[in-house]
Amino acid sequence: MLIALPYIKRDTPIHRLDPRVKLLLLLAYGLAAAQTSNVWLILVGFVGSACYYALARLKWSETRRAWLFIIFLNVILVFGNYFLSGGAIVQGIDLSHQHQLFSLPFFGFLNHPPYVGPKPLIFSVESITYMLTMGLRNFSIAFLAVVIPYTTNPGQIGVAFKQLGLPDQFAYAIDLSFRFLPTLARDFSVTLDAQRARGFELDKLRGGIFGRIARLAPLVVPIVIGSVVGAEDIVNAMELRCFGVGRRTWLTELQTRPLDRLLMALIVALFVLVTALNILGNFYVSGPLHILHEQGLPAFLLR
Amino acid sequence: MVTHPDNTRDASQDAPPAVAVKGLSFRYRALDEESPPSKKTRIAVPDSSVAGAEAKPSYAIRDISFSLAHGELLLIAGPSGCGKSTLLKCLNGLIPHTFRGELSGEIWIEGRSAAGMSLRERARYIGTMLQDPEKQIVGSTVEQEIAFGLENLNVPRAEIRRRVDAVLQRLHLESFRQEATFALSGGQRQQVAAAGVLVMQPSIFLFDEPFANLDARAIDELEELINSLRAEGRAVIIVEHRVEETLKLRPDKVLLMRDGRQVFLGDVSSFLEMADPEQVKLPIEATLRRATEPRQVVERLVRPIVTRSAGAAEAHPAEPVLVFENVHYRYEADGEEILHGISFRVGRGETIALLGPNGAGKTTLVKQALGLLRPTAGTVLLYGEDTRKLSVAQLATRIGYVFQSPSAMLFAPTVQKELSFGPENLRFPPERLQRAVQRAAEALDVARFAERSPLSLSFGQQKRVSIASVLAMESRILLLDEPTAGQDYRSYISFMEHLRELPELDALLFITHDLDLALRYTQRVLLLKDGHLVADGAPLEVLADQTLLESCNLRPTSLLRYLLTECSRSLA
Repeated sequence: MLIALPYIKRDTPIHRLDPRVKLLLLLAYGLAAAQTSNVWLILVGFVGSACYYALARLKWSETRRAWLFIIFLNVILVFGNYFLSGGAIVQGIDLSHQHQLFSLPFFGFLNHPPYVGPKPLIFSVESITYMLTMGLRNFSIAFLAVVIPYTTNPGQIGVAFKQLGLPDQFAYAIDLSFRFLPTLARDFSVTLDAQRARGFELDKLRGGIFGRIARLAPLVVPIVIGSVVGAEDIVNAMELRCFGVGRRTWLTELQTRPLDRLLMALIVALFVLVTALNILGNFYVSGPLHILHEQGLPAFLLR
Repeated sequence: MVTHPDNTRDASQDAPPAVAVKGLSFRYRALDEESPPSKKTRIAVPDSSVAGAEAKPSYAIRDISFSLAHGELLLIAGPSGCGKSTLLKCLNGLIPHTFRGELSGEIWIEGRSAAGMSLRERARYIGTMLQDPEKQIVGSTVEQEIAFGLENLNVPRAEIRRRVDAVLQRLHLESFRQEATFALSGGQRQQVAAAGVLVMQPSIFLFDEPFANLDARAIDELEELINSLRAEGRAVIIVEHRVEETLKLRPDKVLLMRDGRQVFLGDVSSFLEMADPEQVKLPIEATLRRATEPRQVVERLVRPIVTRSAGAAEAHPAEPVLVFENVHYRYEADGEEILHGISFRVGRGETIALLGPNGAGKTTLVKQALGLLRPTAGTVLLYGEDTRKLSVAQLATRIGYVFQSPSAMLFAPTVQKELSFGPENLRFPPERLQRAVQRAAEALDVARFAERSPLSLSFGQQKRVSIASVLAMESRILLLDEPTAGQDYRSYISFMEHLRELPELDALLFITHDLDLALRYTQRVLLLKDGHLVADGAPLEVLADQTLLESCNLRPTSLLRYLLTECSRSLA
């Protein structure tokens, strides 16, 4: 088949993990990492998640597409954020005493009419470090996220959500998306071929950004209409086999090993610890309890 | 209850019929219509005003009655839009559960009135196979799919396992248990979908057009399954306009519908006597028996399309328009080879059927000519030019390809715009564009819906719009993928007759697994199997080889058998 799900069957420690561990790790880490901009802590998280990713033994050739997309997105996010904010969104850092290195003429938001106008874009030790921290944070979350589809049997993801306590309908919707994603991809390639055979050239779209989007109609309309019409059949098929009449059994049942349970406990404990530190940090202005609220830059950089 | 009793076991002679329908009528409620007249509307709208002015309510089905015993097979036949599918929905409970409307009459299932039966209760008795197994299958793996219904009924795990195992074994699908359902072939998909219904052990099976798009081996497997269901005492109802295929199963009863009404109910032999061979596809013997002059019938049926007048063809007899020279193809450099050295040439004026089982590489082959795929080795020449040197858009001016499903390409707000899309992409100057669009619209008889949305048309009309929009690019070679799929017999025939009238083309190719289409409308057959071209010649010559047909999963039709015996008789 040309289009396949990303799952790659292999025997690695990550493949053997209970899918719930992987989901929980992603969720807990994502929420924990959002609570700090301490470059050292994020760096530790980055190294940790990179090790975790390495354990999954995924090859670049297998994950290339996902990573190119993530890198593209991350670059847009980090730089976009920087330019939009003028490098000034830094959690908990005193920006009135930035250690400015240089600045570029740029546009920014002003606090007087016309509110948008020329404003220097400041590059300081703090803002550059922050940009770096943000990039590292995004990549570390990506490491944890990319692993999931490549190392988890798609048949186990829905049930993992179910056993994490989500309702049947929601959990089965995840299974359904795994079922119909390849179908959608195939429909897309059929439509693309059909329109190319009518002289439609995707890489020669003319016009501005809106014009270009409008010119995608020959691709988008048949696929959207097809999915909507197809959805009715799918709903019928599910109703005819009694979906949603009451509690349902899930044939697959995930079995945790002691290691999985230990990991889940550790993940939850770490998350609670980070959250507690974050709250405590509000009451201390310095010291180890304030660590999440600092950027953690060494003094020699801040002269 | 969580488990279903095996309803078939105690089906004795005096038991009530599996299904009995009495005076069933149904009318869909229009979107702007109020749901059951509430007090409020009754006050607001006086009886005589708006309601009286409305057209008579149109019934989707009207006054249908039949009964079916255990172990019997009922064939419900009739053209598209005759209400067959509505009747099925009434039986399986989607009406009134999901689709609202006015339902009257009675349905008795296993001696119980279906009125007020929930979907869950009905599922104990009735299993439905939808038309498209691709949509019916909701599980990502075979095992998940088969277990789906039982999971929903909250059957304990051990019980599900046991029953899934039994069904897998019965349908010889054990080795597919963990397979992704997406990657299955058409026939396997049908079997897996059937397994998912069978596991719920219904005593009545409904099949909605089960034979569409299956090759011969898959049809054989399906027939085997249906026969075994009947042998176990289950009642089977098949809705199908491909009457010829279904008659091989020897139905006990045939119900013919037209415009929502029941026009015939009886056994097969009296059905064959009364059915109109122009409306439903009957075995050739039945058609001939009805005709006064059999020879004429055959002559009328078998008339290959000639795309060019003989004079023009003779003007350049030796010049082929499309040449495949030892074409090899694989999707990825280290992947499996799909096409293994295919060579053939297409001359001017030819009509060709490209036949072969599912997965033989037919579509992969024609995509080489369109430039959608490029051969890994060998060359494709279009009017003497190597296709590798031309872009897809440049090739599109010479060769047009119509995909199987019109919904894959129709997108424009009006038919007119749909038709102009191709020529606009190819930058036709305005006068030429207008002329080309107009000619295409007239050729396929779609000019009268020029201002309508293509999405509002019937399937057959959409199919014609899709061909017109390819034809509007003025390509001289036309490739049609499964041109007749999804159409009932009458629209199939009128559609093919349209193609006969097309303005001068250089060549017409059909990709199909419909043998009668090849026999009746083409001059030449290319037979493809596992990426090899295994036969090339006149239809009757190629298709005379029984062992070849069998190895290619093609099953002889009654027309082919008849023509072959006629041939040997005339030779003798």
